[in-house]
Amino acid sequence: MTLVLLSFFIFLAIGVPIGFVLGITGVFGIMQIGGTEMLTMAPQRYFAGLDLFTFLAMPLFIFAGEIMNKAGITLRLAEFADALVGHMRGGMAQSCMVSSVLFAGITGAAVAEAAAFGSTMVPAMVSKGYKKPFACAVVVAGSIIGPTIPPSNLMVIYGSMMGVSIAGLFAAGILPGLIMGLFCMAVIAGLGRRLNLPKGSERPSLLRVVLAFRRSLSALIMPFIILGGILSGVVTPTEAAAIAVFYALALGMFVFRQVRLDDLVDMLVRTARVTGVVFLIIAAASILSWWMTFMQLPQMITHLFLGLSSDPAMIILMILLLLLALGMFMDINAILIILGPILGALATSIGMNPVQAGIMIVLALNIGLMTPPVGASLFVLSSVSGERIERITAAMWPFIIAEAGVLFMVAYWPSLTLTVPKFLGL
Amino acid sequence: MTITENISSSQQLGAASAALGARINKWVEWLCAGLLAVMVLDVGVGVFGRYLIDIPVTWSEELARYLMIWAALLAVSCGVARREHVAVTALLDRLSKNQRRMLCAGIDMLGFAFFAFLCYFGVGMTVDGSTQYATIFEMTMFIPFAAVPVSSALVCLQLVLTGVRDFTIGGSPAMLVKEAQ
Repeated sequence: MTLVLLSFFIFLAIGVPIGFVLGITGVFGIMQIGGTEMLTMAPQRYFAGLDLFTFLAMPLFIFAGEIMNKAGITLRLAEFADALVGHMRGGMAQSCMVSSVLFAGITGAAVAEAAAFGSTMVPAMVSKGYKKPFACAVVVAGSIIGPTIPPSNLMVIYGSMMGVSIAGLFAAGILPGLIMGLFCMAVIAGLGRRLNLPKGSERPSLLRVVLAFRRSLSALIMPFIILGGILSGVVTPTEAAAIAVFYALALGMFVFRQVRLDDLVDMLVRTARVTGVVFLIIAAASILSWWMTFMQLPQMITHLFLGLSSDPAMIILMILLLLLALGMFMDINAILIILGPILGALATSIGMNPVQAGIMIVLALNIGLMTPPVGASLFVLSSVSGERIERITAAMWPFIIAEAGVLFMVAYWPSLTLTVPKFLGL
Repeated sequence: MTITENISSSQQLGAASAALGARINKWVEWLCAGLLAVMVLDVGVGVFGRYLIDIPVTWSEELARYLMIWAALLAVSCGVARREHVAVTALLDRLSKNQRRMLCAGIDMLGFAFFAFLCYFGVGMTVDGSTQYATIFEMTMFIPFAAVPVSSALVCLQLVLTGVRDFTIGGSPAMLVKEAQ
């Protein structure tokens, strides 16, 4: 067992792609258990790890996000957000945050949102006199609201693996996501005078707000179509994702007329590439997780945690710190697939609701997207804007603290996550 | 004299693998896009059939899963060709260009070993799969399972071509930062 764990960390540290590391160490583990006779387990697990209908929702949501972006939805949402909050001090940063929340109802992945916003919002803010690291930090902080407010790829993975209702998880993510947005806006407002953020535009007339609302209405409806369908139990998440794709296609091609047929090939290729990267991790992780289950590692980790403390609050704290620490170094999909089931089961065993436990884990991992040294959203912003990671990080801390605050609220205050699912009867 | 010849011939080799790798990758990407397009239509047919014309389409779900697996596994090789697979690059970033070249070559070989292994044992699984039946079309599991050995062989090929490309031309073993869009 030491060999497997040791090679895992060494390979990871020297820069072997995480998908390769998971597969190679998984094969080591299988060889250790059963010698060469069990090696056919590896391709079987590699295949079976992907063979879930709910996973279809991921490429579909990625594709829908691509289309919405190309169709100019991002800009329309930004205009509406600007009409709402653009007049405040730091108005552009505020409207960027509001757009993130609005866009979160369409996208399920933070990196997609980070890329879309980073290439448009950061230059816009910089041209208005914002410091670039701060502009990047706002976008990064906003991007992790994307996978907190449904749809969310991480919730799809967690729900599929743990047998927890994905609709329930989606409903439970809404409130924490909105609060994260509010907290970040409070941070911007609080920093406004100290950082001397530029004053916003003039207070808009009601007419302008209404017009901006109308222009973005067809995009604002989308989350309601997706969520309404799933939460009312009429369609499955996968089917809702397919409906989102067709709705986005109809908007992009016939209403806004920004998406042409040959654009579709490019968008499909990009969707395939992103899917390939994530699915390699999922497939390879299921080889390693088979070994972990065989070696009873989940039980050992659970015993370890329960041995350290019997106080539920302490155990939850340890789970959170473990996830936040790992999230700094590892890809969050990999952590979710390998540790999600173990920690989820541990949290429910001490009396936490499975849905609340799921949101807590997903949220802790999302924060890993923006913490250095390895944070996917941080990387995307750095490469899109050309700003150094260290400088973005320095501007990020107030946002990280605010969002971690929401994480702790989720962990210790059940009604924050469970009220909406209960209200909807899920 | 021999040294300069060696350099130019190794660079020629690098350029040739770069060109071949890019061409194969283009085809694979189109194939993936095609598979995904069919998958989207297929799920659409399922939804349409179930909710609008009230004729449940029983095969759409299973077909969509296998299309997704084929597309995603084939796309793994695209991630290799573009060096998009997520890795911790803190160490790589600190190495000199030459050291980085060496380490990347080592990483590529490690990856090659894994996917060659998956391909070899995947063939066995696929052959066995020809006696198992999927629930639709009376199809055997041969075609779905074949995604594992076929895609793994393709990943091996791309690892060789990309490895040779980055080792010889030196270029930039582009940092494996998670690619967004």
